[in-house]
Amino acid sequence: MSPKQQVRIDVEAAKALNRWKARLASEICERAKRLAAQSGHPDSVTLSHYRQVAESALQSLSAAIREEAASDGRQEAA
Amino acid sequence: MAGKKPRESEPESPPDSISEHANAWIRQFVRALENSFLDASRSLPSDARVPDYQVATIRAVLQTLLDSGMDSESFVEAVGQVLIERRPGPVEWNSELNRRRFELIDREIQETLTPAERIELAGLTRIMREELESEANLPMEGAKTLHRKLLETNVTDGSR
Repeated sequence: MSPKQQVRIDVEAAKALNRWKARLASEICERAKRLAAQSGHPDSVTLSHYRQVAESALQSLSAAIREEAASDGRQEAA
Repeated sequence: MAGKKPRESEPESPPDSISEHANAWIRQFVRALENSFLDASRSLPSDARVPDYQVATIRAVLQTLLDSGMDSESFVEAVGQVLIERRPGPVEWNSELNRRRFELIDREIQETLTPAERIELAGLTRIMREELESEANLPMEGAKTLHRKLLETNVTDGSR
């Protein structure tokens, strides 16, 4: 790792990315757990379960980010 | 890296899986750690280098662990224990570790203990305490005898 001094990143932006990563992980875990239960193995979540739910979790995250941006826009306008 | 021997009462779990609780805890911890690091990084100069990031990371790790409910003393003990576990060979309480602990206690009394030795002493104390509190060292025979006598007394009283 070498220090990159040319670009500065807002802490607010870095924290938002951290929040989104956590949200995506949480969505995948919850959906995979439900899928595992539906497939008759409630005590074992596998990579296959994660893969199957990843796309819908990404769509959910995408919607949440859009909503977050819209909410910020409304607050700035008010 | 040397590993700790599993406690006898620990249930067997598949080697390639983790509990849901552990998974949720570490994800929450990493999220909090990243935020702590970002807060700690605000004060870093623009020409900061990797050693500066490493110190900021240690500050963030400590802060996040304290926020999770760990106290400072437990943190130092755990760091000492992990460092000792990195030594080659199994980590089990033995006369060599006991001798080293007394040596460090002597230095502590003489006020010549270095910061690194203070962490080592805390780690040794933790390993010793875990050994003393392990099932193997509980006075089970005495407890079983007492339990048996109480049951016998109960049966005798009940038959009157």
